[in-house]
Amino acid sequence: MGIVLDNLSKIENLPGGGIALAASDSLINWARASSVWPLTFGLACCAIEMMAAYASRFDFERMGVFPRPTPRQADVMFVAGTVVKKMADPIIRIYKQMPEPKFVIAMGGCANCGGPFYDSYSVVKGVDKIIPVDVYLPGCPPRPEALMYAVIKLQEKMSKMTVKGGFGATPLQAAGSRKLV
Amino acid sequence: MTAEEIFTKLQASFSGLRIAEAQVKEYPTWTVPAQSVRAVFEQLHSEFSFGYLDVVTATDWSGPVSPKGYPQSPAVAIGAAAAPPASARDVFEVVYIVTALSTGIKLCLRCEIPRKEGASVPSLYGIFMAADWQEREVYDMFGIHFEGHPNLKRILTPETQQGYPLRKDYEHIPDKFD
Repeated sequence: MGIVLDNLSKIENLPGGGIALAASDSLINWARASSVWPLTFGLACCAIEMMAAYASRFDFERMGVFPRPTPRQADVMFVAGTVVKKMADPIIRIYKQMPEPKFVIAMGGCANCGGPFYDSYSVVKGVDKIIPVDVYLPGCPPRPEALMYAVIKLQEKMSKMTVKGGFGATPLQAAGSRKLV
Repeated sequence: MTAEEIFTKLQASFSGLRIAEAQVKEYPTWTVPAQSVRAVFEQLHSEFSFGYLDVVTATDWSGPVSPKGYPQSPAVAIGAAAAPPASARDVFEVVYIVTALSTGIKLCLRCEIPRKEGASVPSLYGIFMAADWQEREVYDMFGIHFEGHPNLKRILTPETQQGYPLRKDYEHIPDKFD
């Protein structure tokens, strides 16, 4: 219970009993933000930094970030690298295979806006042209600590989601927005 | 057998074969007319054991053209087009680099073809395995047709790509991803 009490501000101990009551928002958001499972998916050199973040020196798993090999089990997609036009369709397909609620972190200058390949004939100018993005992470490539910071920012966003606000389980974001409170 | 001896032997049957004016790196560089490309490589492969095709690439030798249609980032200002250099001429040049692994000789063969729509050279498909994808890449980037290639279609860019991006006069047509 120690961890729960530390993390959930709205939890209450009834006097004289072991029963804890918590707002369901806090409980579910705490669980969700503590197990951000990304898709094992990299496109270019940013993926090397992403792999370094998973490995022992930076140890992403202590934040609950544990790469999953299939989009069906993933909560978040790190778009780590340059998105070329030929890769756009597979990315949309993978994104649609992820269950709701799903999140996207655009990692590095290329995924944000095309980066140094902005004037290229073959590069998508930002992954937000094809899928909605939650966190934009600048850098070329960003260091693993920066990716961790992006995940912390995403966890902050998750902790503000409410059941009332649709819980992030929105339709496929056709409008490109999430009903976050 | 040195590269010079190979050149002498080959020139007996292919009179169009010349030593190029500009050498590529330290490789012996020859120019070869388009109609004898396949025969020259067949002989290099069978007789002189050149079994490894390093590179097939191409050059567009026409003068500079101001880029059209690109979504210019505001930080970059494109100045006036530079004057064409003395080497500018209306040709595509297909460049082959081929290696004999047994003797360690690397040769560079250059083949100039007129620069026009549907410019073509004979394919090396069937002699070298590596020719398949490399010729498709040259076709994708320059629109040079390789006669005899059984599967000549785009390899790097999507099927929706318009035009050939590494041609100097390529005009970029913005699509939904730009």
